[in-house]
Amino acid sequence: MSQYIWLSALGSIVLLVAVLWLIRTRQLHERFALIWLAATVAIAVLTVWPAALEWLAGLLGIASPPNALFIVLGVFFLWGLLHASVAITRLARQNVRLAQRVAILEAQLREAVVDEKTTPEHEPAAAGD
Amino acid sequence: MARQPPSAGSVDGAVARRGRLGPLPPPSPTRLLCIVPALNEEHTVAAVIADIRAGAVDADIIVVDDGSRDDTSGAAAACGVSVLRSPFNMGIGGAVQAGMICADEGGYQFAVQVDGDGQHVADEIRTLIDAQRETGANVVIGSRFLSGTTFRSSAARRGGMRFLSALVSALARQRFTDTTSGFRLYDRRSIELLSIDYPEDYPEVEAILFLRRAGLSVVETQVEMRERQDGRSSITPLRSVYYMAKVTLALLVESIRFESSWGGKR
Repeated sequence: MSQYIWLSALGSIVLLVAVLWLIRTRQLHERFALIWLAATVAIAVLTVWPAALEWLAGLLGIASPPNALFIVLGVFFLWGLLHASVAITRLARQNVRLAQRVAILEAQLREAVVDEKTTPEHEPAAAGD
Repeated sequence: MARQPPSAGSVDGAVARRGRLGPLPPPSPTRLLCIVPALNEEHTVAAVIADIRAGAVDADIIVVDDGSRDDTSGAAAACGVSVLRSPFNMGIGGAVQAGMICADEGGYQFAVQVDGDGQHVADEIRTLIDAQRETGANVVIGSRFLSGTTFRSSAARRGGMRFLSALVSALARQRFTDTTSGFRLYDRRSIELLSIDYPEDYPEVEAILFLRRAGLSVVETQVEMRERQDGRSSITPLRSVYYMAKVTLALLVESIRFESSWGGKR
């Protein structure tokens, strides 16, 4: 058995433990964890079941099965990064929406406080509306 | 207005009825809101406000302080105008959109963007309004280059602007001469659209395509502009090539974007 198998097996075990730990400690959302779990499972399967890796290498026309493992890894890397970029884009947009709302609410609050001061005590501003 | 959550509507309404000091003055069918985006413009924003007030146009003014490090919001508030202060720098698109949201919820019929750096001549707001009356367009862009030019800038910058104009004109299938001009008048329909969705990366240039693709009419009219009184253009010569590449990509992406997939409602 080639040494890369051991490296790959160790790598997938470390990744699996890390992902599960991150989910348990709520540092990783399940939504994102799915990609990493899928990557872990795919690598683990292709490691402990060399026939599957050889079949995949044959299918892709890759002479050396370990290179097929790299391809699989690369696909998951790209998928994960793209997924993260999409998430960041959404968060950035939501962040701006929040900032706009905060700015508007702050302005309204300032105005409400000013109104409160200029309205006679016995006649709350809200009741006047 | 129908898409507003009821709670937001009632709060806005309550504040709006309290008079013109608030960010959302009383709804009126003819009111114009001047949106003044300002970033680190404490020395010029008061002059811009005075300039707008001195003009013949009856308008409410809202200054959007886009996370300035100086006292831009204080300087603006001292003039007695409404001030929105962002907790951080959202970018010009986010700042203008914040003003658009106020225009939408305040029921304004028109909004005009007047940059806080004093580049835009407030007297020319009248020119934009006249052009809108004449053409009935949804958006009127104040162009420096429509008939000759009174605006001096470096050859490289003019070349870049010319390239953008050619690209936008080709993609929009309509001639535009000054795509980077932020001096624009928006009608009610475009206010409603832009308060939901406003191009984020290169808002001035992208917004033209976005508005045209949404089926709104956009026209240009010749205006004069000043050299910047203070501060610098966000586009420095060093970064202009990088800017051109990015904005070109953004425009090409904009022209293939599905309207329905535009974010903002999520």
